[in-house]
Amino acid sequence: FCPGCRALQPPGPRPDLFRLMGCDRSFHIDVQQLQRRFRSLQRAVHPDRFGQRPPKEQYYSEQHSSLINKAYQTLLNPLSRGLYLLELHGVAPAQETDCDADSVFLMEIMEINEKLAEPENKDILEEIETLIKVKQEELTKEVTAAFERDDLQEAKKLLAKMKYFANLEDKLKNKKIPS
Amino acid sequence: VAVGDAVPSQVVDHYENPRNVGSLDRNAKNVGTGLVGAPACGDVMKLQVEVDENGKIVDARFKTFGCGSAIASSSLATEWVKGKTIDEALKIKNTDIAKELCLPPVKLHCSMLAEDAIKAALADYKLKQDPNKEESEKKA
Repeated sequence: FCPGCRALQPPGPRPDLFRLMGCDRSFHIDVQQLQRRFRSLQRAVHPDRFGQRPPKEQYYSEQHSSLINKAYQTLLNPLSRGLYLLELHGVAPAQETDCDADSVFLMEIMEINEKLAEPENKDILEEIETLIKVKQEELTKEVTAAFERDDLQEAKKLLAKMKYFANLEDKLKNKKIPS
Repeated sequence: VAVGDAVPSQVVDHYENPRNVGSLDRNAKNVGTGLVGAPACGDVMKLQVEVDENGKIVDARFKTFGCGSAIASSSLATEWVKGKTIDEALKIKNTDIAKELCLPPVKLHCSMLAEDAIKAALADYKLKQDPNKEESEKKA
């Protein structure tokens, strides 16, 4: 907001999402603090509060609000948070095909996918859900450790693994939705 | 997955009616198995080939978990390798697959994944034929 006339200003170019949400630029974050910050920021800039303001400010408010939503979603989810952190450090996410070196891991992903593709069986689905959760927690811990010791290449590899499990989680969710 | 008008009909065809879905016996000596993954999007693809005594690929199967373009690319790949020799199959390029399926730029990596899967399957087959050779090559 402009200190003089209190009119809403546009968001700056290329904002740092961590700084925007008041978090240190690290993989480990305080989720509750992030949520509090999200709510208080939205209270200040949400378009619903700018209905009576000039069109330009209404437009800025939409931009701010979208940006804050994007920042919140990015930082809330460990995978997107990790990938964003890599991006800030100038490390591109994994692009090359995973093959021989990761065959054990890929086989595991393949097997879980195959089980998920089978006709619905509540027990198996629960088993898979637990397995995915456990793996995601493990990977999150490992990614935290990698970032803490500044091992960005290891973080990159682990985040790639997390992506496979994130996809499985989505497929599982879709399977649970009654059609 | 909702398929809109924007999706080229060839992707739809290989997606809705993929050819050669399934598995071959990975323990058979004349079967090569390629298992690859795309870390950026989390797709996994398994492609298997059965090779006869003349070095010709007589059967191929795939299982792909991923987007429609990945499924279509691997479906097409299994169609294309059948009847080819190993060397001919190794010449299949992702650009050919992408062109045939009219893949948009954002999905080009799917055809790359299929090309890598073909190569991985053939490499696995070759390794099974002569494991000792691979060992001595490694030592050299």
